[in-house]
This record gives sequence, structure tokens and C-alpha cells, in this order.
Amino acid sequence: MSEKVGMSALTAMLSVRSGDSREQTEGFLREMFDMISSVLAAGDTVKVPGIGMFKTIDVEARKSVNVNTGEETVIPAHRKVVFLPCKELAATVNAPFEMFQTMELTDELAAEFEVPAPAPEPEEVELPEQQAELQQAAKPEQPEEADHPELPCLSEQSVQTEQTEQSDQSDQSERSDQSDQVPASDTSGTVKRRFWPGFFTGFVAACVCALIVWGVMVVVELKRPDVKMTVTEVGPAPVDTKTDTISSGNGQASATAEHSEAQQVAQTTPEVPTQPSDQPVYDTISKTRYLTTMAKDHYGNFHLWPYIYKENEKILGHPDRIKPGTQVVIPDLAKYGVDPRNPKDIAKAKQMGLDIYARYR
Amino acid sequence: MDAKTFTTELAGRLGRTPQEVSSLCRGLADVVGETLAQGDSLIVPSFGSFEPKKREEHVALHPATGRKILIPPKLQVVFRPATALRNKVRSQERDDDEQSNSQAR
Repeated sequence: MSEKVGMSALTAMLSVRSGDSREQTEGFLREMFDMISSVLAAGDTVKVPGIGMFKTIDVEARKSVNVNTGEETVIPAHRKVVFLPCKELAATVNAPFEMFQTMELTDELAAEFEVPAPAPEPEEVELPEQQAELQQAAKPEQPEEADHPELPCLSEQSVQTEQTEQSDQSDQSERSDQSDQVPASDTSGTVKRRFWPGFFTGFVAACVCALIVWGVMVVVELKRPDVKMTVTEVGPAPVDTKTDTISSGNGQASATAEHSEAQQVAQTTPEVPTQPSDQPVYDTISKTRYLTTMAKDHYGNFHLWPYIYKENEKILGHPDRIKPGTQVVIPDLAKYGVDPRNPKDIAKAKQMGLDIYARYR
Repeated sequence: MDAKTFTTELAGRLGRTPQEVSSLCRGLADVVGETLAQGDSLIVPSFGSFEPKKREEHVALHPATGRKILIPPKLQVVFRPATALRNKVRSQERDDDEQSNSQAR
């Protein structure tokens, strides 16, 4: 990282790659840079394949101030060298930031951007679902299974669906609350807007607290031996939240969409605890869940996403353009002999990621 | 001078075939790309240095529509010509100027 690579190191690397002797490679490099220099000195442009274009441009005379003496000086008109890297080189160097794209800012977003943004929403939204998943993963076998062979499992599942649904809906209602507030603060003018960020952070903090309290309650409730109690307790709750969402009027359709998603979660997650490690683990791509998120969740390091990609190579295309709803297999890292704590393996995974992106260039 | 003439001329100077030279160029491009992608800078004496530089994300105005856009962060290759090359090019300009001036007169 941020070392200086000199001519000798460059010669060594290139001679290893090309198979020529060092003297030959050095001669090539020297001749090449000499030639570029002489062409540039003649005022011509040079295109070097794979590196980029060197050209000279005229700079007009301009005034400047001597920093030490404060004297005004004139920098005379001259010619200078400009380098434009070619697309391939630019893309290779920019690979870590490749996923970012230029986006247009709406007025609200721009205002938010100028004020340092409070805690990002999406993390919060994912929280209850992840908790639910974690809880399920934490409890491999229900102790009641011996007593009630079939029933507890079902009720457990239904509880799970209801709860995830409930959480989604409560999120939904929160979100709709917030979206309601944004235009309100807009209409109330600029004076109010100044106080808005403080209020917003307070609101977000309150939401987070409420979510944490709710999560703890869920944990306590799930750990109770009597499952039927929890069913009766949780049962009426969703009705309330449903009426809430309807009265808040923001997208009943989205509520149903969330519902189906929750069902999907319930369908896919129960597989996780029961299966031994040699059976495949599945996960579903969504708008907020990418290969990197999965790699972070399953392996503890998002850099390892290329292994998930590799496992599902047949059904996946460009890694940034996977359709939400695509189900992917999460491979066991031991299959590839990868240790998530080994920095060498991480570096290898990064290289794999670059290779994958290079395919779609 | 485009890439093809560059390789053929370089091949002529080195006494090798253009194919060999172009494959060497490709190898060089790979090596340079790897080095810069690792965050290292590359220094060629009396020619200049190549280094990766991070451009921070910033808000700018769209030149056509005039709306605010967010430019994402970016890693760019920056070339700094060495003093020798800079002087060579700079002095060339003066000669050119004198020539063009004298021609105009």
C-alpha cells in the first residue's frame, strides 16, 4: 500500500511476466519512455496501448504571487504534458469504487446532504428480520418436539411469520410517518427546517430504542416454554398494526408485498437451523440484501462475496444486476479451502471479485 | 501518434517484431494496472510518476440540466511529469513560438 515502485521493481515484474531477461526488459522500458519523451518534446501526442494517451497542451500566461515575498509575478505561457489513462487502466484502478454511480439529488436529499445525515434508515429496517433469523438459527431443536410432535413446529412457524410481518408493518408505519413529516416540514418554511434535523435525530433515536425494547420482548417471549401462550398473546397484535397501516394510508399494496416477503422469509429460514453443514444453505437477493450483505452475514466479511457468486455462476449474470428474488446457494467456505480470518484469502477473494467484474466490461 | 505506429516504431528501434512489442506493452499495462490498483505509485526516472489518487465525492451541478448531482468518489491515475520531461516540453514551446512568430512576420 502506497509504496513507491521504481524502475528496478517494474523491470523485475515485467521480466517475470514476459519471460525476457532483465537486460532486455530494461532496454525495452528505457527505449519506450525515451521515445514517448522525444515525441512529446516534438509536440506530438502518443497513445500507448493499455496505458493511455500522453499529449501536450498550451498554457496561457497568468499572474501569480510569490508566496515568500508577496511579489506579483507572471508565469509565462508554456506547454505542459497531460496524461489521459485509457479506459481499461482507469477501470482497474477505480475497481474498489466501481459500484458507485452519479445520481441526481432532489431538493430534500440535497438539504439532507448539507446537514450531516442522521443514522441511516435501511440498517434499522433490516434489524428485526435479522433478529428473527438469528433467533431461529440460535435454537436448532425445539424442546417441546417430544411432547407435541407436529403442532409446536407449525405454531412456531406461524408465530414467526406473524412476528416478522408485524415487524415489517411497524417499520412500514414508521416509514410512512417519516415520509409524512418531510413534506410537512417543507411547507412550514425555512425557519422550521432549521430545527428539523434535531427533531429527526430524536425521532430516529426513539425508533431505535423502541425496536430494541421490542426485540428484547420477542426474545423473552420466544424463550418461554409455553408456545400457546405466545400465540394467543401475539395473535391480536397484527390486527392493530394492520389497521394502523391502513389508516396511515401509505400503500396497502406494499404491506401485502411485505407480507409475502415475510412468508418467504418464514419459508426459507426454517431450513437453516435443522440442516447439517453439508446441505446447501439458501438465501434470497432483495433490494436491501446483496451478495456482499450475505457474505457479511454468513462469513463475517463482505469481501468474500465472489465465492457465493462462484457457487451460483450458472444463474447469475452481472454481479450488480441480479434480480431481487433470486435464490442463491451459500457455499460452505471449507469447500473452497478459505479461512475468513486469513488476509491472504481475503486478498484472493478481492482479486476474484475484480475478475468477475472484468468479465462484464 | 496512435498505438499502432507507436508499436511499429518502437519495434524498429529495438530491432524486434511489432507483435513482440505489443505483447510486451500489454504485459506492461497489466503490471502498471496491478501496481496502481494496490495503491502504490510508479516512478520512472526522468520521465515522471504515476500515482493513484482519490477524488472525494461532491455535489456538483449538471452541466446540461443545471440540477444538483452527487459525484461519487473515484480513484484516478495521476501522472506527474518529471522535471527533465517538463523542461524538454516547455523549451519546445518557446522554439515553436519563435518559429511561428517569425513565420507570421
